[in-house]
This record gives sequence, structure tokens and C-alpha cells, in this order.
Amino acid sequence: MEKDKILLLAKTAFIELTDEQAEKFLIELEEIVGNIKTTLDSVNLKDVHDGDYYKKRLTLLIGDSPERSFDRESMMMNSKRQKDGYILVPKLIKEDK
Amino acid sequence: MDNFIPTMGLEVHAQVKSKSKIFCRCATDFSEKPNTNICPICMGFPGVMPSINEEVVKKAVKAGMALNCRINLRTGFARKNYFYPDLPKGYQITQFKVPVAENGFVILSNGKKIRIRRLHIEEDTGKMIHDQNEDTLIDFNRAGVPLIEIVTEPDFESSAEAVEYMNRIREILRYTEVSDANMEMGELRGEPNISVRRNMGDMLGTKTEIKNLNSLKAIEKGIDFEIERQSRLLKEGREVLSETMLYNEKKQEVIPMRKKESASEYRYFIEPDLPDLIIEEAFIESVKKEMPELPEEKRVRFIKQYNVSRIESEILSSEKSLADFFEEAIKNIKQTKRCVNFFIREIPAILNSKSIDSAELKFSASDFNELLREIDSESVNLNSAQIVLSEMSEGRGKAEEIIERMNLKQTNDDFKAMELIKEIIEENPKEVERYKKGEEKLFGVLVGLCMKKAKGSISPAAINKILKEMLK
Amino acid sequence: MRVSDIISKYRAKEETPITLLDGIYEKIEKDDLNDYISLTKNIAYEEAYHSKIRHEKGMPLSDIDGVFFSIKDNIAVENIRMTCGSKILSDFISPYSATVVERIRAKGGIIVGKTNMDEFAMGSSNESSYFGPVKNPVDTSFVPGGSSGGSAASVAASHACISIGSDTGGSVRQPSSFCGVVGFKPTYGEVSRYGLTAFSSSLDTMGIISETVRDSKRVFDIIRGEDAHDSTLSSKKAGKRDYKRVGYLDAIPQADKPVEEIYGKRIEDLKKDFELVKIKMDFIDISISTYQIQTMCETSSNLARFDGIKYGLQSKSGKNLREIYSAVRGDGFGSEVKRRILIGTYFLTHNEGEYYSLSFRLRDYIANEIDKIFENIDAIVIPTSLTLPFKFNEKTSSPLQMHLSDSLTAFSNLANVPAISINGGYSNNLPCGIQLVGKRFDDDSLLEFAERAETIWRENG
Repeated sequence: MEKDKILLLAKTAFIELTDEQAEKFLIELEEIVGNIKTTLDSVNLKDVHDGDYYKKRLTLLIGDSPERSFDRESMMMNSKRQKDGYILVPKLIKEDK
Repeated sequence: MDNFIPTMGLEVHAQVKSKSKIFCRCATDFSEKPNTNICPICMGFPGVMPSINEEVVKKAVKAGMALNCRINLRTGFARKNYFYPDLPKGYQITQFKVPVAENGFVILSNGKKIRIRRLHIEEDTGKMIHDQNEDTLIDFNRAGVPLIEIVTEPDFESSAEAVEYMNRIREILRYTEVSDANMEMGELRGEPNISVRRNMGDMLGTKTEIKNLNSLKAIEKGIDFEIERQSRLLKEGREVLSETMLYNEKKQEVIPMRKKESASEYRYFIEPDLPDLIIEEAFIESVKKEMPELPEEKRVRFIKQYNVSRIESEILSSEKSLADFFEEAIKNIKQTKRCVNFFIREIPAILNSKSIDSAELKFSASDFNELLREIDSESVNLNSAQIVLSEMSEGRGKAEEIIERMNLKQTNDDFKAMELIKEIIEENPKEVERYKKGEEKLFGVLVGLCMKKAKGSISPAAINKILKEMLK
Repeated sequence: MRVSDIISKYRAKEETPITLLDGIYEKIEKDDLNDYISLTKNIAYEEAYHSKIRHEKGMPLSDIDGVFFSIKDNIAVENIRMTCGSKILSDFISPYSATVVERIRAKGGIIVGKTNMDEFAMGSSNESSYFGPVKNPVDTSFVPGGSSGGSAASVAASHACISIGSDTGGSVRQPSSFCGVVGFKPTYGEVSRYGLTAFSSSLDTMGIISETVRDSKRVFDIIRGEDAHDSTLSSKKAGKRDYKRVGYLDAIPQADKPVEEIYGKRIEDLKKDFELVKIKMDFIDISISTYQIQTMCETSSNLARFDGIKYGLQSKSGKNLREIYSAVRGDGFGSEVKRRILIGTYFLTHNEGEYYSLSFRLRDYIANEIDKIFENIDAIVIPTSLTLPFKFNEKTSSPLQMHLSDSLTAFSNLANVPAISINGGYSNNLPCGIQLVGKRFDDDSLLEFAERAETIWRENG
């Protein structure tokens, strides 16, 4: 795996990485993925049947009736950028070309 | 450029008509003040989980059935992962591998079958608005409003087919009350994907997708522009890139917006917070019971039952409310042809001029039925009926009152006069002809002939009135 | 601090909820363990006042009225800051409460504060918290375990009677082992997760930390059951029964010597009352890999909502959206969290997410193996952790080493069986937890068995 691969993952996950972090994560990713591959090679999943460890059917269906439990103030108390009741997207600074 | 063959598919998003959102109890009315119909769930606050609104499942199944789809009895939800400011959780809850319905179709008027690949349930995003100061504002009232997405196979060959398909979908969604499907309100959105190729036998070309088509006109134009653009590129020996195009109404063009995403970029995986949805036979039965007669079925029946033409039947069934109004109004009428014609001539015109639907008329279907009965029994003639109707549509009383008040009832004299005048007209074709050509004095001559024949048994006023009408 | 002791003090009118609360806050300050990120003094004193009046009238709401709770800081309490141990949420105020919190408060429970934790519950030593590590009250030069390190420490230090934590792969049981208290992870589907910040949605469970099994049981009965906010809850119930046959391992590779010794002794202790059956658990390595795939995939999606747009760390401007997002997330998430998000992103993008689909098959495999073991026995008894508490910075270097610390606990989340860790004794004054694992939805019977084991071990010293 290449460092570019890590940078692409970071791009997909929208996380800024320093070069140092990228290099460190590359080693760790390879270690973990390598280890997982070795382990997986040792398992035979042929005779595996449904494990019954998860809920198989949705039984909770809620009714179609609106309730207002939250006011705008409490829903927006964490939003630092607001304008006229809207949430403001951070200002995009135009790049000089 | 005419040697390029376009191939198109359509993705249609329709807002499901529900009172509360798909995964929480917020109201779906997003015309309210910004960010008032929001809660921790639709805002994706840490710790929240979705619970599904049963009505949404019901309506999706109903739409699937109306579009001739197979309903999947076991279906599930998935996360579509991407980042955008209007997407609160960083993923959209949708359906991926097994949608609620698949393999349906719609038949166009040219007999062509448009295959529907899948129909699935998903949540809408918030809305981004740009203000005068070039600030981007977000309103999350729409986030979590239920949607269905209907995806076709690449079966369209022209923008006209796509537009007709949109109309059919709109009609079906409105008939089944799955969606109000107003395009202007964004309740129905169509995104075509388009490719062109030189010959029928060639492989399909690279496809692009067009967004921001907010009306049927835009769909038609957007598609035509894009076919033209792709054809031009290929003709010049250039390549069509896999891109998402944006339709610009003002500039009347389509421009590339971004590279088209592939499914793997969305990192789809099952939504671990929602177990599989099992749709029981009983559930399907209950939806079937609620299924109204669909537009096409209605049209075929109207043609047979009321002896109307295909076009007339389409006018009558364009909205379910109008069709219902019509059937209520036409009840117990003997001279159907005469009354259907009157209906088709008058009602759509009133609705159009006032831009309202039949529910907003100032008279009910049974009020209108009363008028049709008067016509049917010939106690008013069609001219008088038109006057009565215009009174009714201004809310100035019911048919019988108006006829009484305006003295529009055809009396015994009127009938006698009609019989007699018919004979006179037949006996004096030349005079009638000349009168119609403008020799007004001949009216007096014809009145004289009638008086003579009536020998005082009919009032001169009745003769005057009926003759004038019959000579029109 | 046991529930029964507190209640008897209220009955005897020796103390009131207010006087005890005064003492708790004083002790928290004096001990300086960094076990709390936020203290909720305002609501605590208000609740204590009402509780005091109810006790004076002899009309308490329940047997936890006036009992002190700490809540892990990834569980929402209305109008209280919830940081999840992360910089990205360091000033986030939750507008709503988790279902468990509502149920506890409705029964008169008093919330003392929000406890420190590994960032977004990722870690086993509480060292990944943005708010600094927690000191183990047993010996402050040692880690308290994690990720619910603050929760376990708060109970061990009598800074709360009960703590509500979360357990995705051992996050309640392992710190309970390190701090010498009881940590219970119920069957997934028993307790509503609504209000618990998701780390790995298909594995996360609420967990209870207390001094005794009885106290965990009391609280479990209050917080369990249906909730219109959690679609993954189950209505399955297993009948109550007496446990007779207990499975054990005769060797635990990779375990520290003292752990093996204490475990061996505790198995001996059980022989008088139970039939002990030797079992094999060959799926430990597989469970670690499966756990890594599942948690990392799910977390890469669960943590996507922290984007700096609506709440939490927010920036004013940037060149483009990507830069704004990436900067906030790059700055807001710690190294462990970033690593897991990136690896999860790798798994989900690789071959259309084949790893994630495979991890469900692997869970089937592990569940099948566990179910086979349970055909012959009623409960499994194994150590909670391979190690005793370790010192700060001792094991943070290798991520693989850190993941090994989940190896005896993660399988019960993967196969979804209930498990409880009880202190089995001490070596060099460091506690060592022993874990009892029951059948799926057998929580009531498991708790009863755990109470018996607890008594037997206490009597045997």
C-alpha cells in the first residue's frame, strides 16, 4: 500500500492529516489489515448458519402524527453561525487564481 | 446530428405525503419558519436513532403496486455515506440491495413499455439557500421528509417520452395519494441520465446525469440540450465524460457540475439501527383494499361507460378529484352524450380560468347534477344552462333557484314553439339561409310564418325567444 | 457505596441526599482522579432536595430514590455538556436525554456528573480522552481501564453508587476489572441505546457499573425494556432457571500469570456448588478481527455527523467545503479515532465493502460456536482481561497490543450474549475481574448466578 492510498482515504473521510500522521497510519493500517487477512484465512465459513445474534425484523413502526418537542432555540443553541433562524455555512474564501 | 441515437433513464424522487417525518415525529411542513420543525433525530445529534413511520412504508408499497412492481416481502435500509452541509448525519438512510419494490412498468400512449427497475424509500435532506450577501444558509425543516425514488431502465428515446412518463407518474402518485407530486413545489423531481450512440447496434455511450430540472419544460429542454451537446462532442471526435450536469434555466444550457459518483464512493452498507422490514401478506391486502381505480383503468372504463373519446376520457380523468366529481355529477342522467359534452365544455374552462381544482368550486357535484338533470329533462336549454352555471360558479345559488329567479325555465309554450319552429325551418330553408347570412329583416318574416301556423296557440314572446335560439 | 447502605441511612435519618451529595463533591475534588468531565451540581442538588422531601414523607419513588449515579460522557443528559471525551464535542450541550437517563431520573436517581472516557469510547486505558487520563482509585499510578474508565473509577472511589457506561467490546467490564468493581453488559436489545453516542451501532450496549451484583440488577430492571426510540430492542425473554453447569478454560494463552492464578482459584471455589466443565474457545483471534472490521466500518459512518456545520467544533471560513470539513475533523478528532475512521473507510471502499459483509458471517460463526458451547453448560467463567491494570503510557504504543485487551470481552458483543465482570481478588493490591457469560437473553438468570458466585468468592476471601 502506498502513502497516496492513505491520503485518498483521508480525503474520502474528510480528515486532514499531517505527513507524519499519514506515514504512521500507513504502517498501522498495513499491520491491522495484514493481521485480519491472516486470521480470516484460517476460518472455514462453509457450515456457518444464521447466528441469531441480531434482531431479524423491524417490529417498531411509529404512527404518522407530528409532535413538536423541541423549540428552535434549544435545537440551535450549539450553532455558532446563525442568520435569521438559518444555520450559516462557513464562508467560502475565494482563491486568487 | 440526427444520426445519433439517445438512450435515457429517469430517476424520479417524489415526496411521500405524510404528516410527520420518516424517522421522527417532526411535522413535514417545511414551508414554516426555518429550522422550526427539527429535533435531535432529524438533525443527527449524537446518540439518536431512527424509528420508521408506518405510513411511509404503506405509501411506498402502494406506489409500487400501482406501478406494477413486485413487492419485496423482506426489505431493509442502508446508509449512503457522503458529506454535504444539508445532510445532517453525514449519511442518508435509504435502501440499497433490496428495495421495497422492483420490476414494474408504465405504458406510454405510443404503446411503449417503460420498465421500472426499482422503487425505494429514503429521507430528504435539508435545504440550502443563497442570500444577497452570498451567504449560504441551511434550513433543516425538510431533512427527514420521506421520499420514494423510482428508477427506470434506460428505455426512453426522446424527451417527449420522458415528459409523458413524468406525467403518468405524477398522475398515479396523485391518484393513489402517495404524493401531491407538484413539480413547482419540488414534491416531484426528475433526474434523467443520458447517453448517445451512433448506431442501434453500438454499445451504450458514456452517460451523464442532469440535475436541477424543476418543471416538465425544464426536463424536456434539459434532455434536448444534453443530447445535442453529447452528439456535438462525439461528432467533433471528443469524449463524453461521466459527469453530473446542471440545467441553467436563465442561460438555457446544461453545464458540467462535478464528476459523477459511483456506488462504491458512497460506501453503502446496511443501516445497523434498523432491522429488516418484513412486509406481511395482510399488510399488502390492506393496501390493496385502499387502492383506487388507477388512471388508465378509469380512462378505459369512461370510454365504454360514457361513450366518450380517448381525448375526452383523458380530460375527465386528469385528476382523480375531477373524475370523481364528474361521475357524481352524471349520476342518473339519461341523455349522457348531451350532458357529458356540456361537462367537458364548461367545467375544465371554469377550473382553468380560476386556476382551482374541483374541490374548490363554489358548488358541489350534486349541485351540478341538479343542473344536468334540468338539461336532461329539457326544462332548460343549453344556453340557459350556461348562464345558470356561471351564476352557480360565483356562488349565487343552486340551479333551481337561479332558473326560477332568472326565469329561464322552458315552458309548455316553449316546447310547442320548438316543434312548430322546427317545421317552419324545414319548410323554408332559403329564408333561413338568407337570415343566417345577415338579412336580419327576414327574422320578422319567419316570426310571421310561425304566428300564422300557431293560430294563437303559442305566445308571441315564446316564438320570438325560441326562434332566436334555434337560428343561432 | 452500596444502594442498601444509602437507603438505610436515609431511613435512619442519619443522612439526607443533600448531605451525602456534599460529601461526594468534596471527595471528588479531594481525590482528584479526573474521573468526571462535567459535574452536574445544579440538577443534582435540585434532585437531591426533592428526594430528601420524599424520604422525609416516607414516600420514595423507588429503591433508587436518592441514589447517586454517574453517567458516561457519551450518554445524553438534557442541557448538560456531552463531550464523548473528544475535542470536537468539547462544548456541545445536548438538548435531550437518553432513555436510560430519563428512566433513572423518573425513579429518583440523582445524577452527579458525566464521566471521563476514551475518545468516542475507543480505547482500553482511558488515555485517549481529550480531557486527560483518569487515575485508578486503587492505585493512582495505574490506568483505570477503558473506555468507561471514569465510570468505573467513580464507583470504585465512591464518587457515585452506580455508573451507566457503554460496552462495545468490553468497555464496561474491563475497567470494572481494573478498578475492582462489578460491570454488567446486558444482552444487546435489552436496554435502549437511544441517547448513547454511537461508536459501533450493531455492538454498542448500555452497561452498568456498581459495587455489587445486586445493585446492577436493581438498575437493570429500571432501565431495560421497550422504547419507541430504539428499533433494535427485542421482546425476547428467556425463562429464569438455576445454573448448574459452568464452563471454564484450563489455560489462557497470553494471560498474565497473576490473572491465571486468581482465575484458577476462583474456578476451584465454584466446584463445591457447580459442576465444572472444561471448554474450548478457539475463536478469540477471529473475534478480534471481526470486532475490528465491524467497529471501524460503523464508526467511520457514525462519526461522519461531526462535520463542524451544526454543532461542536466549528470554523468560520475556509477555501472550500472540503477544507472546512477536513480541518475541523483533523483538529477535532484524536489520533486513535482518526486511525479507526480511516481503516473503516478502507474496509468500506475496498471491493464494495466485502469486509463488512464478511464480518456478519464471522459473527454468525462466533455465535454458532458460542451456542454450541452453551448446549452443554449454563454459563462460561473466564477472566475479564488478560492483564492486571497497567501503568500510564505502558501500552499506548502499539494499536495491536491495545486491541488485544478486548480479546476476552469482544466475543460476547459479537455473539450477543450477556456478561458480567466481578472482582475475583487482588495481586499486589491490583484487582482482577472474573467474567461470567450467560446465554442470549438469559440476563436474569445470569445475574442470579453472578450473585451466588460473588457470595462464594467473598466467603472464600
